[in-house]
Amino acid sequence: MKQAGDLIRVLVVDDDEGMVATLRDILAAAGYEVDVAYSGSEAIERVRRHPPDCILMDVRMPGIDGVEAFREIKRLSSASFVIFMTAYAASHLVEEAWREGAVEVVAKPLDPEHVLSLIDAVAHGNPVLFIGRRNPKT
Amino acid sequence: MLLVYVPAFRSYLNLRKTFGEVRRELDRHLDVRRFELVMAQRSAALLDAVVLGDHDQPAPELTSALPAVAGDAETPSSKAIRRVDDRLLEAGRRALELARDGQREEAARQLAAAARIRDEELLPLVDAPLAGQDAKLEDRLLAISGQLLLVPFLELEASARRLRSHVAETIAAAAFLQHTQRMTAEVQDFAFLGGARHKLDLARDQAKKSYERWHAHLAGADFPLPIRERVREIGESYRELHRRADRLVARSEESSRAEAAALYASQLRPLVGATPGPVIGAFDAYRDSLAASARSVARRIDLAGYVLGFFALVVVALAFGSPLLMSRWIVRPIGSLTRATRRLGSGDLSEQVQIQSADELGELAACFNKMVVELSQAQEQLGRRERLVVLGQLAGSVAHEIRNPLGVMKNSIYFLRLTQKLKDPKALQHLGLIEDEINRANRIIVELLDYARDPTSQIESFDLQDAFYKALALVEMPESVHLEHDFADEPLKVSADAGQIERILANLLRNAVQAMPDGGLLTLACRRDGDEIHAVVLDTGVGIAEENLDKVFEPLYTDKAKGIGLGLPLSQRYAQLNGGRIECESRAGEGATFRLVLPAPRDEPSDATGKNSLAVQESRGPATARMNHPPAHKH
Repeated sequence: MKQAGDLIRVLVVDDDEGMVATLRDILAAAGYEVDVAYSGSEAIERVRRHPPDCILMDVRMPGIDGVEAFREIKRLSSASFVIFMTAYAASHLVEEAWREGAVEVVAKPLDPEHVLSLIDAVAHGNPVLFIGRRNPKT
Repeated sequence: MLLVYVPAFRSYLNLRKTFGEVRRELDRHLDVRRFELVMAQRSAALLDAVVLGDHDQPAPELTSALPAVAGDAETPSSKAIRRVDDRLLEAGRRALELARDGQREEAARQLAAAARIRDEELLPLVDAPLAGQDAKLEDRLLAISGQLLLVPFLELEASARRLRSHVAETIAAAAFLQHTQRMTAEVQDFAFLGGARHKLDLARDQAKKSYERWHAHLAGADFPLPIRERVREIGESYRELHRRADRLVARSEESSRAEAAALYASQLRPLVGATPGPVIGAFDAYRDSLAASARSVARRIDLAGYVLGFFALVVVALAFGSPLLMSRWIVRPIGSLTRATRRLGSGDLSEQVQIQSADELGELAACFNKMVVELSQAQEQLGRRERLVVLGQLAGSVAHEIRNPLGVMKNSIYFLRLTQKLKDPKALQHLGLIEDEINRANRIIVELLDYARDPTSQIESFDLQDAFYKALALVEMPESVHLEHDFADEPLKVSADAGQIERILANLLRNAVQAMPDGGLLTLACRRDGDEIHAVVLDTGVGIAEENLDKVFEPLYTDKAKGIGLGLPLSQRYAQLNGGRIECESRAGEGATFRLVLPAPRDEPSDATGKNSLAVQESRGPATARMNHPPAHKH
């Protein structure tokens, strides 16, 4: 359980360095503790060492993609909430991400406000609100 | 954006450079090989002439065989080649003179000495590896493929691998051909000059092994059959030679030398005497085919450059359109490229961009110009449909890749707003501008993706007027545009895909606003007309010239400063998908009327409004209401 005063820990995973850098700054400015990874395998490693409260991860990455990493992460940590990012909604990976139980799949370019509210909801223990939502069209 | 494009563009430029280097290196290498083959053949023919003194055969031609490329630059190898060429010419002349004076043995001795020099100078060059250039090329291709999703489409990697295997097979064929020449020389040496038997055996083994090495390639690459057939034929005649050479072993030295001479006369002389002969011919055929394979890779690299350049240009022009961020050196070239791109979009392929600079922009302009030339050539060959299919595929890959940089920019703006407590209205305005441009670029991408995708509809029943309101919320309405609407009192239900209909209406509204840069009146109307339901968007803007009226629904046609000409074609496609159509009426300078026509649901009775087919501007005045402009839609 989270102790009062502990920072909420968010893991940002994307092979695009600019995406990682900007999301890290935004999340840090919004008061989160941020960890980053640049690939699916790195993300698994991070979760193994220090499980985050929430993961913001790109669907499509070279090597181990986001969905595959998610499957592995679920094995490592039972309470893992993943928000997927995608630049291409019509991909089969997005379908799989939903099937695997993503909290949400958000389209790039992101609406950072929306992403922050999602993470906030996850961090405060009501991710159920989001589960089962319709696949957004964009 | 820069995070992806600069490295991608750089690695593309590196790729071009490396590929050019590899091609030059390969050319030089093959030049040396060909030179060596020609020299060996000439040596054999000369020896033939001086030893056998057969006057039926013309004396071998004694002209310089310097390859053009090797002679160009003063490299160590080109110097060596020139030296060898000079010496062999000189030795050849002297040997022929000596032979004419009856001193055949001395002539042969001199030729043998010249051949040794040839071997010493040339063989190290021939056997030099290609300095790992082909491996370097493949690395580059892999590097760029990591950054570009284009690559699966262009099959750059696959074609580079194919080229690499072609190179390997060509080199293997050349090595075998070289070893056959060497074996010929050793047969001559053994038969006529008292050469050692073991040298002949060695040369025979070498030729056999290199034939097998060449043969091992046949399962892999896909060289044209006739080319391989020529090498195989040469291989066959040398196989016969092997068999007969084996028989020499059993004999006494004297008789085996005579046997070798007979062997030479029957098997080898026809090969040696002919010019250029089957050996050189086979080599040249291989080389031509390899060149074609290299050209095909070069074309793909060019294509990758055009696509990269084109989309980088679109994103730079749109997303960095803010004056705050522009610097002069980028504005003008980009402006000129953008204008040219627009002309290109409207089908004008005559214009070239004039940008003289040595940097990436210059490269981009050069690529652009090349693209224009190639496009106009392609236009003659391909129908519009085929080009669109290609565009669709490219758009799918590249548009996807552009969203990441757009996303990074959008995040950055959010971060600046969140942390910098910006008060200066100018600064805030410019952040807003950048964000708007990002959204616009993203909208273009959505259009491209939608165009590339095969859309399907989810039919539901809804009020068309509601769809109009939703569409209005998506469109930024300037203060100078006055909005009026003429809607029916009761809901006008249609059965269609609500999302697609909203997209159509938003697109028509956006077009209307853009057609009125100085403001004007925008009228919206919804009504039932018989068994059809009409949604009308009417503006008082610049209008459309009569000759362009039928082009507005064609993909890539645009007369707007902004946009790529997919909005209306896509809208028309959506309309047709929902059983309807879009109609357009306009005259230059007199505004335009766009009408979305959808079938009315069958179960609803055709009521009194069915008779109403009046033009919109003449319709009921009292029902026309002023609407407050919604504020710009921002996140």
